[in-house]
Amino acid sequence: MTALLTPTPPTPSDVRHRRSRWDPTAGGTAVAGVVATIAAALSLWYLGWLLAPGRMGHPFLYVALVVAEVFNLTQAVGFWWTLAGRRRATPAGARLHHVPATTTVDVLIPVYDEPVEVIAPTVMAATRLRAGTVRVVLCDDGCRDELRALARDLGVDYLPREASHGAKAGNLNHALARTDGTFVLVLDSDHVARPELLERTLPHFADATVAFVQTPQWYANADDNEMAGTAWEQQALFFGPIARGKEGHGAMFCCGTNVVFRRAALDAIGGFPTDSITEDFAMSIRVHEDGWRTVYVPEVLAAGLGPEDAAAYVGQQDRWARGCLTGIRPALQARLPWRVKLQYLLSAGFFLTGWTYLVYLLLPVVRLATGDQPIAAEGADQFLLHFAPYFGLSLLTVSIAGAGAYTFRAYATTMATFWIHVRASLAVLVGRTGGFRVTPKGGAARPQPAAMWPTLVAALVLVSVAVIGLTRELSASALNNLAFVALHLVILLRGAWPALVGAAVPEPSTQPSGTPRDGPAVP
Amino acid sequence: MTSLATPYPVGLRRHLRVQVGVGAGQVVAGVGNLLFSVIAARLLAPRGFASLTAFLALAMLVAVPAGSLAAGTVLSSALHDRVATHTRWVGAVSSVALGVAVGLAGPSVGLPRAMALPAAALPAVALALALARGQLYAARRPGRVIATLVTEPLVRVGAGTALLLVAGAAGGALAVALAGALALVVARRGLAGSPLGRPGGLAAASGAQGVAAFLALALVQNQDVLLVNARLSDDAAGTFAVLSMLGGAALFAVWNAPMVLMPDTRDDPSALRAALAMTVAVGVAATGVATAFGGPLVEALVGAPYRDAGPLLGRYVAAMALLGVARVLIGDRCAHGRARSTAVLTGVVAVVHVALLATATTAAGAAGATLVSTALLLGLTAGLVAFDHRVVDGSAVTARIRAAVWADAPARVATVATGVGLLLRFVVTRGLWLDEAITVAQARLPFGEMIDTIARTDVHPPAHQAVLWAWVRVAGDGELAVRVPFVLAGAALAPLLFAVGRDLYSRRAGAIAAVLGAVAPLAVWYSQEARMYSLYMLCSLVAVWGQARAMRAGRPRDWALFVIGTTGLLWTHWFAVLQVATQQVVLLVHVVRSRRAARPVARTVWGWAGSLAGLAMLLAPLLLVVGPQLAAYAGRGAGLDVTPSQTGGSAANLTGDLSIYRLAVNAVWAVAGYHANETMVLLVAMWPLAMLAAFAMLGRGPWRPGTDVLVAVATIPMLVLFGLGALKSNLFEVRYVIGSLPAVLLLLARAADLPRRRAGTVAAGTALALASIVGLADQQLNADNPRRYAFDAAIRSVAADAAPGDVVAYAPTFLAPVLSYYAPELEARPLTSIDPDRTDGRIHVVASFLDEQPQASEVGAALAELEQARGRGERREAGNVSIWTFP
Repeated sequence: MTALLTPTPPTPSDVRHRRSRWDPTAGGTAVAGVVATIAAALSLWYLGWLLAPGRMGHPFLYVALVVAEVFNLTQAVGFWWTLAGRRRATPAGARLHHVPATTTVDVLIPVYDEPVEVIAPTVMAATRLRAGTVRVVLCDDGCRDELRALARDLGVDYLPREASHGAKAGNLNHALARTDGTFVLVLDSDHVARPELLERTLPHFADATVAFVQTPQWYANADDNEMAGTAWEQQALFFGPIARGKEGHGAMFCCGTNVVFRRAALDAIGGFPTDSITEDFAMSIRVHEDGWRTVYVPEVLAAGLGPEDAAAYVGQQDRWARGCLTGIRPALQARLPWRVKLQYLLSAGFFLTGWTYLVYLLLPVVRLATGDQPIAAEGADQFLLHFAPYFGLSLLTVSIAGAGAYTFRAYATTMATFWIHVRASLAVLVGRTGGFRVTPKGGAARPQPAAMWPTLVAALVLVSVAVIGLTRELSASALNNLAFVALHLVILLRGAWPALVGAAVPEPSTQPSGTPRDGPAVP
Repeated sequence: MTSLATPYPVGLRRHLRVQVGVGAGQVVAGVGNLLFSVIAARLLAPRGFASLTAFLALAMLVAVPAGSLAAGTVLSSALHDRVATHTRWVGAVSSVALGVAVGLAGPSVGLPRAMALPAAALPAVALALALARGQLYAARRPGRVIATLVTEPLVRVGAGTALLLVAGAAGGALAVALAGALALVVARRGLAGSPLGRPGGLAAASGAQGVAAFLALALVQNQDVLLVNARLSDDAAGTFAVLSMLGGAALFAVWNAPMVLMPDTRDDPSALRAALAMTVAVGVAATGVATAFGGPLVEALVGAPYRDAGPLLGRYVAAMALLGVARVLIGDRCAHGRARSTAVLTGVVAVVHVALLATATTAAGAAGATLVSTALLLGLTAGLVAFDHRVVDGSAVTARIRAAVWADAPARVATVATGVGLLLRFVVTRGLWLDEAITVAQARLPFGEMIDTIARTDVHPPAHQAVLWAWVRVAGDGELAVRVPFVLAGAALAPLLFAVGRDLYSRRAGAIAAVLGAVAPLAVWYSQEARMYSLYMLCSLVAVWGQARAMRAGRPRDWALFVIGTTGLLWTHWFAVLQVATQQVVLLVHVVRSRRAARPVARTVWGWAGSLAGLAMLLAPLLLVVGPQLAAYAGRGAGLDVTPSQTGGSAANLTGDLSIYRLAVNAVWAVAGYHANETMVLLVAMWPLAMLAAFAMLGRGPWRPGTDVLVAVATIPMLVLFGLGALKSNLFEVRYVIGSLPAVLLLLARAADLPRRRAGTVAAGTALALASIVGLADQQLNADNPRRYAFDAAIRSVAADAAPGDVVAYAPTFLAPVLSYYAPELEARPLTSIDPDRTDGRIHVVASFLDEQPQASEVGAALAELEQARGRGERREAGNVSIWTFP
């Protein structure tokens, strides 16, 4: 059924009606490229020094450090390589062709148990989408009467599903079987689309090999909520330079919402895979394996809600980590061009970063507790000489490429939740990837220390070791490790800050959907 | 008290007539008192004359505070009333106490017991006379004032001569007391039956503050001779006593000008003009005479033994002339109810004066210290009076200045920081360093010869020597005096940082930058050196500000500021070329980026071209210096046998010649100051915390205009110098790029201002300031600071110990200027040129830089030779300087 323009007025108090000030195309390409090139050379210089004979202190610690550094260097080089792809990305806002009115688009809004006040603006905005002939379908896995009434009131189709197997992927497949539009726009229940979304994305399908066009997921509540703001700053790096670079490398993957599919492509791969908790990531691998192209449009065309408290954030990250780590094997096995395969592995491998941070945390702890250290003592100044330029330029690259969107709190939160990566990788290793867990709705006003208890335990260990270290000796070496302890303490506590102070009380209409179908954000 | 309007002459001419009349009375009184002293000298035996002189000093001691009280009572009738009720018993108690004291302990200070009675009269009479004269001034009774002034010398000379003949010194003392009493009678008779005019209507507290202000003035006038007596050699003290006596006479004539002024200045502005006209005229005349005829005058009055005072007389009389004018202005401020701030200001100058005097090593230095202090007092007071009298009030300038210094919390913080920064810089805790001694030696030369010497032997441009050359001719070459211009330049950093921080970021950032500038250890350290570094920092900041403004607005005045700063940089230090080049590159990048962004660049390009043309003209004269310097430098073997660039820097050599740790050490020095090597090792070991700073910079978005200049200037010169250090190790030294420090401080202030909440900014700023203060305290006070070389203490100790015929042997050879500065009278030779067999007296070896192996070897060999010839020497240490005395 064709969507009708509803006379229902918008709700101006909803933050999702705000305009984004974020520019996904910001960030100096040339300067970042130069800095990244120098940083890459310096990273090799550092690695060469680290691996040189005679560098080893305690063998086990040295090996752990080398592994961690090699992993992070790989990630860093991968990041710089990804950035290099931006020059080949599609210009922002390109209008390739006029979209004929006969073009049909099904707008699928999968919902589970999200509040109606969150869903209503999403549906309402979908009815105002311009370009082609739009049919809005509210795909309800909960069979709720109030949603049926909402659909009726707003003049959109209501599609309930009795059995909710396959979670979001199952819901979408259920809808795909009952619709026939040439294109399919998927919107999570909390993502309010701008009217021009289709006008900006559909023209890219003039290329018959394009399977889907992804647009950014912007968190409209980022300015109102500490946790959402932090989560957004992590997202911003991905949806800014990384996504543009991935597109340039032909490896942009689907992020679950604000994405327009060519139905033929979905049909070709058999719809959304229901055997993954990150169906978008798994589906993307299949799309690329099937020879399709993917496009990223760096323009904010929909506004969503980020997680508003620590528990919601942890749940989201945990699911992304498990899902993406599960995707490593399919990515390895897929018949993909090496560039695309590497991009998938880089994205999935990011969720192993927590292990390296665990190593970094342990090194000063072991040094202060036992006196053992990974690098031979006489190399202390040389370590600084080789490490500092690489470290500084790496941060500079992130800063320039992200145009300042990626912040310390975003970094600290990633590092402070290192244990999510550790736990997820162990779970994947033993085959316990888990199922969907619906993220709690709304932000808890009270502190949630339990949500980040491993972070707090790590901080406690650091404090204890610092006290022990201070009482034992006050040498330059001990002080150096104490400074590392202090550095880690600041990072851990900054990352755990939202859990310690609680979330800002959000307005009722801005409650996040907590949908478990968000796409992965891979910094 | 009744306030009756007594008809009184008004108008400039009449005020002038009164001032001149009272001044003449004062001169008569002075001449009469001098005559009395001369008569006493003729009539009494030396012992008796000395006793009478001591009594006169005692009378002066009592009269000075009493005179200040007179000033207070002129200002405030309420104060007069309060004091008057207590005068009798205070006077009685003081008199009894002084009488008993002289009776018991007088002989021990040269006062015979017979003087107990006249001594007892002094306090009571002085207090009562002060109150009475205060009333006379307030009542505008100049005739009666003159009468009381003249009465004293008349009685002293008349009755005093007789009493001297009859009772000797005790009789003279009695005459002094009697003269005071009769002057009191004359004054009281003038008051009896005559309604008082309009005694000061200020509150008693204001009157008391006025008393405090005049007491502080009395300190500034008299404390120099006391301190010089206590600290300097007999010869220097004698020379200075002559200066004090003759200089004091110049001030004497205008001593009462403020008293005459104060009752009228509120109602009639011409009163101030009259007082100023008289004091300026007398001051100029006295200074002219003293400058032109200083030598003959001194020889004629006090004889040839004091001829050294002759060349200094003009300088000291000028100081007293300035003080006389300052007294008038201070009286004016007090009369306008601004006595409290005036008292504070005068007190601060008195403290500065003490500090300057404490470092003076010669009579010339002490005279310079007094001249600087009185000039400072006059300058500050004149500025305040300009505001008080609305000379500039109502204009945009006044509003802007007031808004800048006290309008809101950040401005007040910056103003206080400026004051604190100034005081901190005046508290110098070390003697002259080698380079300073060289600079002073150069500044002592005639100008042409100095420039020639710089071109042939120095490795720096001549700006700071030129500044010092002019300065030492005004203020002398005392230890602190030679540092004053650079202290002031360093202190100017704080308000300028506020202005730049406010312009580029926010008022809060400006205030934090000002605080950091005031207490930054390295900024304080180098502001205290008679070298170019404080000028270097100041010019750097001006250049950076000018460029930031030029890039933003591109107005001609912005470019002019840029040219001034850049010119100053290159006239100050050759290594500033690193900063200048960096700034030029930033300009180039700015133009290129503007073009790419399709922004208009023509205005910037033209301004840039104009600035380059201006720079070319202003820097051209440097070619006359740089060429010969390069030739001489090459001729010496690229810097051999010159003073070390890297001293006290063993912490910077942790891992050899040039290392990342050395870079880190220099970075720590830049922000935290100089500390003991052990401390530096620990501080540098905490480098991981710097990673936090790097993390904190994440997510800061696009830089504000100007930040690019600051970041470039803060980092690039240091890194380039580090690279140059790979070619020649001793080139890498933080002070060579100290121009980067203001940029670093501004960036730190900006970082502290990043928190969204005010409390966060205040906390961050406070933390930075506290860290700086801790670093500053350790740097300035910790004896283990390896940069502290106690050449002053070491050489003075040798000078005190040396007997005629003794020889001082020094090593290395570049210690010569510092030896010549602190002990020019010593016979000093390089250690290597000493022949023990041809030296009769003892040999004092002064050696330093013994942590450097070649130096230690050379000194060790020479000491062994001396020990063989003279036996074992006695060794002592003074702050990185070793002294051996061989019999």
